[in-house]
Amino acid sequence: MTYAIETRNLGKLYGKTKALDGVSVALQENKIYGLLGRNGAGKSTLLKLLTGQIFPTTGEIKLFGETPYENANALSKVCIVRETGTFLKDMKARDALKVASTYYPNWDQELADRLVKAFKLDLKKNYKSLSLGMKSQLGIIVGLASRAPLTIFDEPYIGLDAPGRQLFYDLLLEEYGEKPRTIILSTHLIDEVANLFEEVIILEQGSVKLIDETDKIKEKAFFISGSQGEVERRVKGKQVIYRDTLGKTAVAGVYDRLTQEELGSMEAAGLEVGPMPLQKLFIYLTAERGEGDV
Amino acid sequence: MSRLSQGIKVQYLIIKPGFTVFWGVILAIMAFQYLIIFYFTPQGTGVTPDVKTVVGGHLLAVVIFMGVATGIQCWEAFTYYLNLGSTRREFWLSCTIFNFLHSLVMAAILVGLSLIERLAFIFFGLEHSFMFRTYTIDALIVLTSLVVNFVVIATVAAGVFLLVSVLYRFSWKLLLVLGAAFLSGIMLFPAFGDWLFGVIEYVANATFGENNQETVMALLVVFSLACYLLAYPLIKGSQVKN
Amino acid sequence: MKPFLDESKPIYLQIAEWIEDDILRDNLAEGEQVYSTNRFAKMFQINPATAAKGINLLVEEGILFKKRGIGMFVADGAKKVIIDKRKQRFVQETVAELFQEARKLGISREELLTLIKDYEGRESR
Repeated sequence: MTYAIETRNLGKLYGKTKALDGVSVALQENKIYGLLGRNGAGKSTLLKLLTGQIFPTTGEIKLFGETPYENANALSKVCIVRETGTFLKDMKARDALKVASTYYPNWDQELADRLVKAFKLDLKKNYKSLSLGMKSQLGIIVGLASRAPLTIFDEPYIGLDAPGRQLFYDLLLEEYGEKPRTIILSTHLIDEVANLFEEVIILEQGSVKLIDETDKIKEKAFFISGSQGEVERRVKGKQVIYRDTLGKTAVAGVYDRLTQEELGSMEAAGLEVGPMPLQKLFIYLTAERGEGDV
Repeated sequence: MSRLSQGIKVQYLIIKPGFTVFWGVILAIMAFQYLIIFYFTPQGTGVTPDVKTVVGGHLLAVVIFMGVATGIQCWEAFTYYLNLGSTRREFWLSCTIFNFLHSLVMAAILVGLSLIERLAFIFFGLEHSFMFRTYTIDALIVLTSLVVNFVVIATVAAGVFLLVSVLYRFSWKLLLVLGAAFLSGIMLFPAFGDWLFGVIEYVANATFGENNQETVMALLVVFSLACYLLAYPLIKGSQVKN
Repeated sequence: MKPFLDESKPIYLQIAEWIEDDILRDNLAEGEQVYSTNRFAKMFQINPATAAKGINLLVEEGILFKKRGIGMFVADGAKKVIIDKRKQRFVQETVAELFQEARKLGISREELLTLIKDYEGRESR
């Protein structure tokens, strides 16, 4: 089976800094992937490696079964929309779309026109004089209309307000429903988009902390609360990623498989068991460094 | 459309705004110069400087623009091209071809303007004026001037392209090292500075028709080709910066 | 996320329940075609695969059936299957929880029955 992306032991050194280390992942075609990680976790490095923009220090990459470096055929199947580098600041929005239209073989001009209208984008402006929101919109238009078999959005909605983001999610799903393709969304607004991902990749300090189907991850992430002794007894031997106490009541965040019996007995013992949202799971899994927010 | 012609078109789109502004400014300056020459200096009194041509004087401006524009263009465009899914080879090729075409267009505009200038002088009966050289329109002269202008402009573009490729490959810190080495070279060895200045002067003179124009132009062409050839492996080994 | 999904259980189960509710309310008749996964995906802002998982769950339970190349349809007798299933779950979950909570609050069996009757009286008023 050919994967959209396959990496083996992928690593990248910047001087002495390990930006990426031993990343081995296989991304299937026609799925929506969420790429999560804190600032500096290696998301952008990974995405730049995948598109042949930088060279790996170790390991290898296959893009639709081919090495991306200097490979026009493989690279023409990819559209990456990044916060920087996707557009030139002095180019008019209209010209930027024109360029994109000639570079992506599957470009859908009708869709692009429709999106420009939906976002009410002023194409006569230079990229640098567009508002933050409009810059994001232009990126979204390019990404969606490219219809590239692998479309990557690296923090695509940095400048969009909540309604703007909702519109983006709707458009993305509509497009994906009509013409499935592999999509990677790198983001930190996890709560909003968690349900869009079929699979999630969490990077932490250059390594893959977690890669699995969103459903499977959610089935393993719980909050368990109740009397401290009881909670401690029940979570023993499980992977506990969060702990807090309030008086005699304890809350434990568990990321582990819990059988129906275990869940049942916990409830019977008076413990409250609830699901842990993906955003929380992400924070606890990546918070070991202790500082900063997400 | 082939990927190469796409690449060249992208270069055109990148340069378009700068190009427009540049020629807008240059034309405005030229108009201003004519205004001064014809309205603020009494004709025939001999107080005006020895202006042979207004247009011809702007070759230096074009050369400077070419250097700056090519530098910025290639520097910024590398990331942009790779983001679009271009290969490094395609980027190199489109830069090479575009710089060639761009230099040709610049030279053609310059020569075209001086042609218009001369025709205008002839039309207004100014060809015998002391201010202007009084040669007639001669196809060979026009062609020579086109070639010479083109080669000079293209050489600057080629040199800058190589410089940018070196910097991209080995980071901008190298610019400081190179700059420091260059300056100390001139200061420590005055002969080096003299020699360099001599070379520039020689080329400049050749540009305006003195010395062995053919030889100098041929050397410049060789130099330009060498720049592109040297830039190729550098670009193949370059990565997008953070 | 749309407001009518909640975090407390897997999304695909909520999609399945949504369809079940529609069948129970007779919004979807037996033999009628069910909305496509893409419709669900857009409506709930979820991955189409998640919607498909919910629908496939109902196919496994015999509530929906697939017509190749056309789509998903409500099976004959689907409503009964759902009612039976929900009844079972009502006992297992809701009634169990009722008793658990009552025990926590120290409500006796008699008191609980009175409370239920009182509530019924208020409801019917």
